[in-house]
Amino acid sequence: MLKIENLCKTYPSFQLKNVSFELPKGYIMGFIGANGAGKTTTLKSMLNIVKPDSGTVTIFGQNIVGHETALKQRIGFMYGEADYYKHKRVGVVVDVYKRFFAQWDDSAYRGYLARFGLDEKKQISELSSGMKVKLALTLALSHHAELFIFDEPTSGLDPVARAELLDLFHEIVEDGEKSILFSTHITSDLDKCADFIVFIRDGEIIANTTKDDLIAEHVLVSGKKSDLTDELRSRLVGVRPNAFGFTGLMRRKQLRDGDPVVRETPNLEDLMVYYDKGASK
Amino acid sequence: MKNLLYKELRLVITPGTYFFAACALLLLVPAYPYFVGVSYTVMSFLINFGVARDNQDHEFTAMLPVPRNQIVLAKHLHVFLLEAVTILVAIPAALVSSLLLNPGGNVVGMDANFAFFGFTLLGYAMFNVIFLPKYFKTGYKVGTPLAVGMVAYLGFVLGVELVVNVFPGVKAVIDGLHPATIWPQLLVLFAGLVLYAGGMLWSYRLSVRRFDKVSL
Repeated sequence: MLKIENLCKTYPSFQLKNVSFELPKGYIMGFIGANGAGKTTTLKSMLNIVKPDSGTVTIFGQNIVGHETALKQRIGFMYGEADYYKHKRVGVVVDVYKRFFAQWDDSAYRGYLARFGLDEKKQISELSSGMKVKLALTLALSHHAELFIFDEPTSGLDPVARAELLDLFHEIVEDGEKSILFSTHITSDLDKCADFIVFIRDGEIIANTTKDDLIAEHVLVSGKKSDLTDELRSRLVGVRPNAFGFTGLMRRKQLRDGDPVVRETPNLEDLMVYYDKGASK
Repeated sequence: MKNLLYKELRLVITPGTYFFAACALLLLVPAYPYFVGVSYTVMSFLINFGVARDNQDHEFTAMLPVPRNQIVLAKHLHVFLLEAVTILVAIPAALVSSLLLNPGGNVVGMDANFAFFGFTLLGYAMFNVIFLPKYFKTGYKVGTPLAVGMVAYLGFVLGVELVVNVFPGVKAVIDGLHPATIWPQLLVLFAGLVLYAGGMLWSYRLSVRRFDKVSL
């Protein structure tokens, strides 16, 4: 459904380096990375909002370059909260937006308005940060898109709203015909709903696999300070000292039977934190 | 194109803009530098393009199922629409002024004749080909492109006034409301129309090329 190959973009202080991944039909893919890792640049490059220096983006079998108009009809896209035209009413912005979409579904739109508690008569500036996110999602969801690309859709939402949104994501992919790619740094959201994980750090993809495999490939180890030898340290992805000793992340294949460490299963947050620690080591 | 124009009208063009366009009614004043009356619209772009930037207009358009060059097209339509509205306000004002209020002619500047509208279009064309491609180099900086465009525009219309008033031969043909001079004045109008259209096309193509390199 979505294939990114060797996407590159160079800014004076940042570089996106050969970003490649693939999202099959019917799945949810989480795109994780710290702030400034390149998530938004990648998503914008995919839709030609940022001009990539090189690389190809294929959606529904067609290159985005040259088929932008037709492909965007089938993509529900939101990046960040709907913070445009602050002094216009929600209804006015939607009235303009919907004219561009051949498959706009007014009853679906009304359904999302009710579901998210959005008031069409309110000005955009009167919406809270969370409500602006919900408006952006409503716009993306109301024209029968098949591929959804969301940039930080859960940021600014309270835990109840986040849980509702994740349920909605499950509903969307339920029929096996639609896919969702969403970026976030709130990794607990992905623990709950993602099938695949793409992990980006400093503009480079460092993991691209199923969530279960990614977690299974790593192990969280902890031990006493005296156990942290240089040899053990060299096998760790990242390490954090604490009052009792250390905790670190290791690739499971690097683990040896005699290692004097306590082993635990990491979560996605552990992966992000320790990979980042490893980079700054 | 219809939807893009609708977007500009509903979301981008501020209501105050129409006041600037309505300043073309200053052509009704018997003695007034008429080029000033049709200049306010040019200044309104500072407000509209600034408001568009502050409201993430390009980012919104980029989400729509339109190719990237339509962002450029939307802004060209915006400029064309407001300049056209100004001219459409100015035409009846010029007719009333020339036929009823001030048939003897304007004593402080060019008369509102065919040549006046031709020069106005040439001035707009000059402004557009400077302002729009310069603006689309960044997609967000409005001030400098508008200032440079404005200086060129004002320099042009001041130059026209100067030439018309310094050279009696030119004044006799270009200024005035006498039917005998209608053909040379129509020629200026025709040149204005052609260069305005050509300028818009050239500006659009150059702006697309420049904006293609901009990352939103």
